[in-house]
Amino acid sequence: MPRVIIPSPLRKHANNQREVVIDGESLKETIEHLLQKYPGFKVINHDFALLSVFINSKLIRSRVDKWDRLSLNNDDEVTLIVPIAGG
Amino acid sequence: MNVIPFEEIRQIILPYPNWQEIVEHCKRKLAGNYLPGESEERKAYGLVAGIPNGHALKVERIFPIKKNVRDKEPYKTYLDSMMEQYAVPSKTPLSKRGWMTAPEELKDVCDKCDQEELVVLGTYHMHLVPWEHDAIRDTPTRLDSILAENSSLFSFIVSMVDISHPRIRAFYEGSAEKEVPIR
Repeated sequence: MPRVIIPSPLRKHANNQREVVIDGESLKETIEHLLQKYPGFKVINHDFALLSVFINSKLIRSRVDKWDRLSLNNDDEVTLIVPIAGG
Repeated sequence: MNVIPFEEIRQIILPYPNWQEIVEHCKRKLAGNYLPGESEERKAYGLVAGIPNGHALKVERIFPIKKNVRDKEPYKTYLDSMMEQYAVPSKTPLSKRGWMTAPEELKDVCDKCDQEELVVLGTYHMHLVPWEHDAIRDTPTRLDSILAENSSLFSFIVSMVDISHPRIRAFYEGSAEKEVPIR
């Protein structure tokens, strides 16, 4: 199952774990399962258009509505990055 | 690492060399001395990393951010909309205000923090222009608060209005009511 790497600002939503193993055959399914298992991640829902995802350290450029076409392997590493902004 | 929620933090320890690094970053940008690949603008912002220690956070590392992707989509649409709704009008046009980290640069910082067993404690950014109703600008604006909402991070506001007397104050999630003293 793919591993999801969680940067420290988001870790409180996953019991302070640096990484979690989440079942999912596509990126979309993996993110959906992550949200089901750790509902705290729903705070990033409104930022989904801004959320960046890396698969094995490569930035995924495709839009959220295409994530179901991105299949994941068992040994893939998915990193979530929520951008930080200021005024 | 057993981390207490940041909203329960009562003190931030910012060692002088780290304080100085933030201020020097601001001064360098104000002087127009840009690094290769750095966005050329009179703005300074970055990340603050460190370690929790009981109800205190100790700053260990400062990560100045080089690239501002504020004008790239999808960030531009988002920030333009936030500016229109929440920014206080000032001399600087809305289109020139705001900053956004590039995902690659932010991931690099997060990776370095993991390698060094640090956590991201917050962000810092500079306030430069005095406002009629706020001459010092060492507190977060409404826009700062909105952008830091639900971030679980501290916003370190660096007042460079008087460049010879910089001030840094820290606010949980950019809320003016949630200041935590720095020592």
